[in-house]
Amino acid sequence: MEKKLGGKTGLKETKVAPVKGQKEFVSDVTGEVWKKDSITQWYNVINKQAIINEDQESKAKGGGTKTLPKGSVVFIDDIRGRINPQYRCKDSSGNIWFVRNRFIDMIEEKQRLSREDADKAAEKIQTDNEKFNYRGGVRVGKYGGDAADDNFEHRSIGEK
Amino acid sequence: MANSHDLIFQNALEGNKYDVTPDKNMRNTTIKDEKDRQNWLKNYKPHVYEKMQAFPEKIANGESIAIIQFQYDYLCNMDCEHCCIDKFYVPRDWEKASGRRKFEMEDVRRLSNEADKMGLANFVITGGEPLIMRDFDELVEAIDPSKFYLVTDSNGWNLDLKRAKHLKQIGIDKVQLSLDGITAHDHDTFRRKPGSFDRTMKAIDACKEAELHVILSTVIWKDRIYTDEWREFLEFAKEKEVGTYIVYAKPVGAFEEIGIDSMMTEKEGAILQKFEEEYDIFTHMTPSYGRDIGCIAVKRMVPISRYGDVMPCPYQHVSLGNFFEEGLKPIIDRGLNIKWFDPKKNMPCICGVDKGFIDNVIDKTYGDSEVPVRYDRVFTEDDFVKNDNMGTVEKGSGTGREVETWKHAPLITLKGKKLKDHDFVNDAI
Repeated sequence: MEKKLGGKTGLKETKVAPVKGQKEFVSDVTGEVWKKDSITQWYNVINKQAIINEDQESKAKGGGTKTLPKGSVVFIDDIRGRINPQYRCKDSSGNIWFVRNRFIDMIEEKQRLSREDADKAAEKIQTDNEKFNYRGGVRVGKYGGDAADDNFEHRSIGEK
Repeated sequence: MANSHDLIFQNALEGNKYDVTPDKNMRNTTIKDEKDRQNWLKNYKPHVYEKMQAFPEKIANGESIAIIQFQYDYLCNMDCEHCCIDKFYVPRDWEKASGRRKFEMEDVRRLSNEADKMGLANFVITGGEPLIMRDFDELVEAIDPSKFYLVTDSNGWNLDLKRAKHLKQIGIDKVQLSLDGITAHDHDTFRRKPGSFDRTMKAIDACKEAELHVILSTVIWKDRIYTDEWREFLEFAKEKEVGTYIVYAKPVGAFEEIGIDSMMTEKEGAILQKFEEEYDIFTHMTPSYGRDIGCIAVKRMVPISRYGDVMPCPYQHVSLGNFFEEGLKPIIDRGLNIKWFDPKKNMPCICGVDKGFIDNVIDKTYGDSEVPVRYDRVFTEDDFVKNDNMGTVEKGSGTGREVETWKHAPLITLKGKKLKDHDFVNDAI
C-alpha cells in the first residue's frame, strides 16, 4: 500500500500535486504538456499584421482540410479565449482563421512589408474593419450574417 | 437523496434581503428530508413552488421547463483543461473597444421577468467563476431570488464560511461545487491550479456549516469510470453526505481535441446507472418530473451567453437567437420546433454520444468557427417540426432527408408514478 503523504490531500509518494508557480502541466486525460499562454493588450495586436510560425490546418467546409502555411502574413481583427487564447485572423484571400497566439509572431515595425505590399495584402481584408458590428458575441459579416457566412457553405446542400 | 440539513433555516432567514415576509413558522423549520425541503419551498418561495407544480403539465403540453443557465461573465481564476466555454471569453479591454453588447443589470431584470412569465423556475449563475464577479450580489438581486430557485456554480476558491453565509443571506439556494478528482494531484492538474483541491474541501465544509445546500459537480470521461479514483470519489461524496452531479465530457471548448475515443459510450452510461443505485449521483439524463425526457437541451436547459445568445445546451455552441434582438419565448419556441430538441421525443445525450449530431451540428462549432454559430448555418428546413417559426432558415433548404436519430427516437412516456403523485419539487431542487 502506498504511503499517504497527509490528511485529505490524497497525495502519495508517487503522486505529487502541482506546486505554486508551476509553469507546465501534464494532462492526465490527453497527455498533453500544457503551459500558460498570455495575450497582450488589444491595441498591440488588433489591426496589426503578423506571421504564422507553424502550419495551421482546419476542416474545410464540405469536407477535407485547408492549410494556412507557415510564413503566411495575416491581419488580426479580434481576440477570444483565455485558456487557449486565439486571434481572429484574415489571410490574404480574406479567409477567417482563429489561430492560437503561440503560433503567431507579430511583425515588428522594421520587419513590416513595404507600404505597397502591405496595402496590397490588406486591401481585401480591411474593407469592413473600420467599424465592428456584432450580433451577440459574433462578428457580423458584409452580407449581414455572421462574418463566417461570407464564405459559408451549407452543410446539407453544399451550396454557398 | 439523503441530506442532513438540520436547522437549516434558523439563522439564514435573519436579515434576508429579498423576502421580507417569509413564513414565520419557517424560521424554526428543520430540514430532515426531502419532504421538508418541499415544505420549505412551498412556504418560503410559494411562487416558485407554484411554477414547479405546473411542470408536469407543461412537459405534457410540449412546453419548455428550462433552467436558465446564465453565463453572465466568463472571467475565471482557473484554467481547467475541460473548459467548454473558453472560446466565448473576450478580454475586457477588447470587449469594450469592440462594442459588443453585453448584459447590463436592466437586461438581467428583463430576462428574469420574461422567464418568470414563461413559468420557468430555475436559474443557475455560471461563468467563468461566479464568485469572482464584482457585481455578484447586484446580479442576484436583478434575477430576483423570490422568483426562482437560484443556484450558483463555483470552483470553491473564494468560498469560505463567511461567504457561504453571505450567499445564503442574499438568496442563493444551492451551490454546485466543481471537484474533478479525489486527490490534490488529479484535481489540481485538471484545473491547472495548485491548491484548488484544498480550497474545494474547505468550501464543502463551509457550505455545510452555513447550512447552504451544496452538491458536487464532476466531469466523467470514458477511462475515469473504470478507475479506483472514481470509486474513491463516490465514497468521499457519500461520506460527506453531498450529492454529485456528473457531467459527461464533451468534445467542445478546450476539450475539443480529446476525440470521440475518450467520450462516454452507452456501455459507460449503463455502468453509471449502476452507480446511481448505490450512490447519490445524477446526470442531466436522470429522469425527472415522472418522465424520462432524455436529452434536456431546450426542454430543460437553455444557456444564455454574456452576449445574449440563447443556446440549446452548454455544449452545443449554436445560437438559437439573440435575447437582445428577440424575446426569450420566441427563441425557446424556435428551439422546441427543431426536431433534435422535439419535446415529444426521448433523445439520447445528442452532443455526448450521438455521432450523427456531432458530425452535423457540433462539428460546425469546432476549430476556427465563430461561436456561437447561428442556427441558420447549422439547421435546414428538414430539421424543423413545422415549417413556421424557423426564423431566418430558408424554406426549401435541405434535402428532405430525415435524420435517423430523431426519426426513431421513442416518444416520451410516463415512468412509474402518476404525474399527480410524483415528487416533482424534489426533482427540481
